[in-house]
Amino acid sequence: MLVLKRNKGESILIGDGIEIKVLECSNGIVKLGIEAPKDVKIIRKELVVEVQNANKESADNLDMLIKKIK
Amino acid sequence: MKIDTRLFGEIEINEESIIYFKEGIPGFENYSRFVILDIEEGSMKCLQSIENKTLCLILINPFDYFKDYQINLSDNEIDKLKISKEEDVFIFNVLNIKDDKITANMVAPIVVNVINNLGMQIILQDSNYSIRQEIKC
Repeated sequence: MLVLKRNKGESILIGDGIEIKVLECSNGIVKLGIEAPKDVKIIRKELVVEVQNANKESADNLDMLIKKIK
Repeated sequence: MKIDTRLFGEIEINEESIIYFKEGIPGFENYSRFVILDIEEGSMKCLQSIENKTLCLILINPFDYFKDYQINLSDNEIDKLKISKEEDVFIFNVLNIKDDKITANMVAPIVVNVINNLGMQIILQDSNYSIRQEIKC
């Protein structure tokens, strides 16, 4: 993993047209500003992980679910 | 063609009914071909993988439970599913069960373009919906 130090107000550029800027940093929370082309999906990772887990659980619990809705 | 299903054993399906999820679905990114089958219970359906018999999710029509459920697709998602008209789109939500309570994932609807059979599980960013919305069946 590439590790970079950035100060408030500084940015990094990724590929063509993606800019991530550090807007604020306090109490362990970093506020980022992101500019990216419309076709780039930006999403909080934990939300994706939650949906992955929910889908796996749903498939795992199928028998229980069927019993309950019958 | 014949496929092996989790709920109904081996069944015959029409190849034209196969829905293609180019990116798979979260948690099962390697499986891209599914069919949506009716199950006996009311209007519920199941999303059955063609490639993995055990991958089967129960789906509801969200509007049976939440009349004002609303999702906004991004331009990118509309492009990927090649959607030209709103009425060509079907929306389903995946059911789950925990502590004997049935919940529906309202944050990540399954969106299918019925014209070309392209599907995608969309993740709604910053929505007020819950991944585990309790429902009464």
